[in-house]
Amino acid sequence: MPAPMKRGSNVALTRELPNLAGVVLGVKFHSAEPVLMENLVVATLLCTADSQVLSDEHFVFFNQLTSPDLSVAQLEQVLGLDMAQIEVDLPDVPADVAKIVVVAYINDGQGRRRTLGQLRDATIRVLNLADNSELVTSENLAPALTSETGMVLGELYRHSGEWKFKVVGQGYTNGIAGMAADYGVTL
Amino acid sequence: MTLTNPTAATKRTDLPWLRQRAVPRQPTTALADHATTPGVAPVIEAPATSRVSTSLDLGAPVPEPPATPAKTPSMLDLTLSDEPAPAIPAAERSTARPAARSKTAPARRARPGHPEILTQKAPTVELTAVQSGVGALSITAACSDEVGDIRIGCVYQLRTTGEGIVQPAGGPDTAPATSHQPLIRHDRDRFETLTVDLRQSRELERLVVLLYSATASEPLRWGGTLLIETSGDSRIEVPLERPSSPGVLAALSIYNINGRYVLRAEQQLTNGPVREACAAFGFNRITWLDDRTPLT
Repeated sequence: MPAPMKRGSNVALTRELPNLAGVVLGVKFHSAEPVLMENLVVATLLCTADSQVLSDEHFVFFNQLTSPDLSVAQLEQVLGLDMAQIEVDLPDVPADVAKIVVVAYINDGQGRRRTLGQLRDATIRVLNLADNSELVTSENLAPALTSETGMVLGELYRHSGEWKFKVVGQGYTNGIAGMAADYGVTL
Repeated sequence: MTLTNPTAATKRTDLPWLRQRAVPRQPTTALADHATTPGVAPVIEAPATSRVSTSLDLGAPVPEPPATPAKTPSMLDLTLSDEPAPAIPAAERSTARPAARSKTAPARRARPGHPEILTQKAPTVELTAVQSGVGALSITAACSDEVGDIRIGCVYQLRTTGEGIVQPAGGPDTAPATSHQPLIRHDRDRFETLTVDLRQSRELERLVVLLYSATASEPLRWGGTLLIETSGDSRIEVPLERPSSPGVLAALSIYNINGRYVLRAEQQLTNGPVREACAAFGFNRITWLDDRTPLT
């Protein structure tokens, strides 16, 4: 198993594995607070090169489990330790999608004001869709979080015809509202 | 036949194809160019087999179409007879088609900075899956004190717990009634408000917002607006203009259609108790103690 990827590092997936047909992005969270875990949502945004979602239908989360082209799909039930898994069919991803961004946010429907600082563990990993083998995993992104309510975990992006994966780990204090504004999602 | 040990069996390599789902092919007709708008299914209209205009517009009759069909047959061509299907002249087709499509146009959307007002002519608006699943939806009865002692409640149907009612002044304040994180909560800050927690948005099947007076006998001087706001401040308004009357006003209904919430201004007044207003919308699985008190 390779060493965990640090925040900001990237890896060229299809250059290392030219036959890679699909990946599974797995997000793992751990916290002592069950209410935080219930309200933590993982979402995947299919964006153009300037980091804007293609449309509001290209926001894949529990209420919209697949993208319109069916290339990115979130699993409704995950078996195992991951909190959420997103399957990506790399050849089917539309040409205008330059990056696939995985984010997590606290859905504050009750005004409880929870923060991601209460997380003990937050990692994102990439598995090979064909045989479920783990390709790369990120370091624990939780220690750097304090009062943020949203976070960009990592992104899969195109680079000179290849797919690369980058660990981002960037927090947003204004949570999903801030991320929606940055990525052009209409709330 | 010997049963092999599953852990020692040969690995199957043919299963991944089961996951592959092909995007449906677009029909390669003149309709294909209208299918490029994302999120809108191509509208396939059966050609009229008679000269009578199929539109509900009672204006000028449709001009006589030419004898030869100008439309190439699509895979959903529903002409049964062998008479030539009257078609709109090709020259007019590009302008005529968008007008015909407006009958099944994409649903009205809500976006920030541009409040959508639901009127009798256009009572429906559809929220996107994102607007129906992120943050919270707040439904506020923005009425001044002149209206009277108004309360906002709702009768709802949830996927797991079935039908129920949120009825301040006489019933539970939350839905489900006993839950540490309720889906629907009633509050009274400046105005009467219902808040729907969209983390559990899939749990809600349908909901009807009810406005009534806390003092059963007093008629309300209806006025003000019902405001619905998404977490991104996209606003939908339902004006509450009607003559003063007692009874229960079902102002708005929300239906969960495939993950998207469809809001419709119902504006239906029931001159009777809450139980009758619920029955009017088909909510007949609630246990009542009397005409206005549900069992909690």
